[in-house]
Amino acid sequence: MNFAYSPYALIPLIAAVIAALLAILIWSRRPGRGVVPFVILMLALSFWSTANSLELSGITVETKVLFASIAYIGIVTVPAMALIFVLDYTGRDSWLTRRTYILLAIEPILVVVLVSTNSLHHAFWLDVTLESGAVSADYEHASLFWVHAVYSYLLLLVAAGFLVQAFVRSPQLYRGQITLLVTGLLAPWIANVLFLSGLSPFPDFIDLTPLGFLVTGLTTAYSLYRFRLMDIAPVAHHEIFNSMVDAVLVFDSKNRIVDVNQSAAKLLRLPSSQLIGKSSQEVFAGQSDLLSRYQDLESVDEEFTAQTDGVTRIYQIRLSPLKDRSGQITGRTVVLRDITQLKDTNRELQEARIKADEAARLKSEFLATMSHELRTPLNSILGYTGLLEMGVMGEIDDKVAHAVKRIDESGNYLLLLINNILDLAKVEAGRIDIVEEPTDVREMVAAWGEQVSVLADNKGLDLKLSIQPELPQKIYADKDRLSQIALNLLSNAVKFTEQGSITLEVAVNGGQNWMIRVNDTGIGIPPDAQQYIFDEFRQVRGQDQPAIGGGTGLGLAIVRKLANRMAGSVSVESELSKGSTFIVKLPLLPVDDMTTGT
Amino acid sequence: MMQKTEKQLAGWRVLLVDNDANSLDILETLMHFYGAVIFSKINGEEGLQSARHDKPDFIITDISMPVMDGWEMIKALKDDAETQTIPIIVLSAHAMAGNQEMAKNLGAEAYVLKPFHPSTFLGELLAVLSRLPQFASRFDKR
Repeated sequence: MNFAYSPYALIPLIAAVIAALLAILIWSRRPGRGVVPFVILMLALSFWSTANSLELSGITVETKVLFASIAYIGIVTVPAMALIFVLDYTGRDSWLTRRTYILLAIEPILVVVLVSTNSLHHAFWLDVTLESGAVSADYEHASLFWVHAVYSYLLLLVAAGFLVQAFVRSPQLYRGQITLLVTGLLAPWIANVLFLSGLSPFPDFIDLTPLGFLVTGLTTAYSLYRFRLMDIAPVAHHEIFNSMVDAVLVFDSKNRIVDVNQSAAKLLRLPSSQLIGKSSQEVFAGQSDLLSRYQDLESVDEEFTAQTDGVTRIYQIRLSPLKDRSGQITGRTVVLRDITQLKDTNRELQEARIKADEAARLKSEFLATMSHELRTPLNSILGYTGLLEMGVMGEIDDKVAHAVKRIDESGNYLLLLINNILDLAKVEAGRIDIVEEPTDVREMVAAWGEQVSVLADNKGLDLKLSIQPELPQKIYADKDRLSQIALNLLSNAVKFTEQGSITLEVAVNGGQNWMIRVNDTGIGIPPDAQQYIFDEFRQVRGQDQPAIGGGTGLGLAIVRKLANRMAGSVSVESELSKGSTFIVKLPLLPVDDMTTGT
Repeated sequence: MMQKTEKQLAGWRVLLVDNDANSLDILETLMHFYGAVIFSKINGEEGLQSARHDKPDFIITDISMPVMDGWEMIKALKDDAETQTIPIIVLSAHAMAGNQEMAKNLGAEAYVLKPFHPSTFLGELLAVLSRLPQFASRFDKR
């Protein structure tokens, strides 16, 4: 093989080098839409141009034909890769199946085979002649060449078509880069037509096609840097845009629709092709001032209702201005979100809460009424028995006095029962509010002792009070509820103790808690009963025996519920005939003396 | 037990307002026994008129009553210069926590919960009255 230097061979060589450089440049942009087919496209172009350069440098016709044939490996790859690139770039990657690749590979392989075996069948070119001193051989093309040419044009046409479609669909923002891409794709086409038609301004033996493709490469490279082409493929945006559940409309500065997504088209019941170009007045019938109302506002976020097919739906509308680099408003985006369901859910929740509140109110009202209605007749019972006992109604004999005393006792028991039931109901209904206020522990405990001492004295029991010095003087506590707990436990202790003592001890329990301990030397609680004494209406009783002590069976239940409401607990330790100890543990919340000034 | 011979309320004029006949009867019997002059009314409106007309020394009133309830009557009494100094003791079967405060805010001297034991109530009543400066002289006589 002999080569001779030809200045014309330089042109494709430079093209080959540039194409190769572009391939490397784009390769660094991975991963990105269309990068791989674009790189292959550039490499094929480089290959084609290199072969072309070598063809032009060859001296003999055989050498030229050999490189012309080798060039076809690049030539056939270019249109196929251009199409694959466009399909990928415009978001049609779902089309890029194995089937598509095989179909697109058929023609290039056939052409390469036909070209390399042309001497056997002359189906591609009939004859190749080389005039003496000419740089390029003269090819007399046969029918299959034209088939190949038409096929290649078709592929490029389809690719250009998809790009134009993307151009039409894409918002103005992306138009610049698509224009560049279309120009790039048209360049080889024009070059090829010029070459084949002989209208080329260059000597007719120079194939302008690879140069055309070089223009493709250069415009793409420009796009790459100017518009960050591979980074933000417009089509990817278009996909996101269209798959959005929220309706999005893009308006230009004259409030005409420039772009809408599928949700917006669905919402406005018109295909997007019909919506584009329409003014906001036409689109938002009945809301015609929608945009002008917000004309001067930077951004808007509010709700509005709209009738669609007689169904009222609520939308959240958000308007944001689109600005160019100088800060001039070039348009607006309107995002409409259907919040009907959200609103419905909110309303249902609110209704449920109102119902719950109403139920709680009714329950509370019922408790109050019950309390009042039970107390009124009880007032008569206890009032009249009181008058009888006082002798206000005249002297009564012992027999009657005994009966009156029984009525009075039963009446008082009934009152205790009513109070306890209502208390329990209140705790359960969450109607008891724990109000923790700075409380003097020693004062409070002394008051308990005073109240119980009467009962203890009556039974001849010794009452001992013990307050640990470590316990803060003041703590946050609900005095009334704590007193209810302590007096319940203390009166129980007195009730179930015939001799010995009752001890009330108040102390710190660990760093976080404090405790109220009520100990007695009474009858004790059987182990099995210790499990249930805190349950409602459960009292210690023997076989077929009434409850011991005459309580309501609710006192300890209230103690436990109240303790729990205060984030505390109650427990019992007991031994039959030895006595019982009840321990209430509560969170310790000392009052800082500095803040209270005590 | 009270000493019945001691007419602890002798010379006192008392207005009782309660729509519950039994409650009113118990109070009347008790007050009468201890020597008080009694005016009994069954609702707030009648109570208000009696307070203006009969000039009681103190008033014992229920809350839940038809026509005019106890709260309204107390407000009206406290708004009237003629009646605003008459001490009021509320006696009610309403056990809600807010009532005691309400009574205090409206200017009542005490809130006693029904059912009441006559002897205990009498003790409480005398304790309340003895603390009031306008009655100091009456209690000093003893």
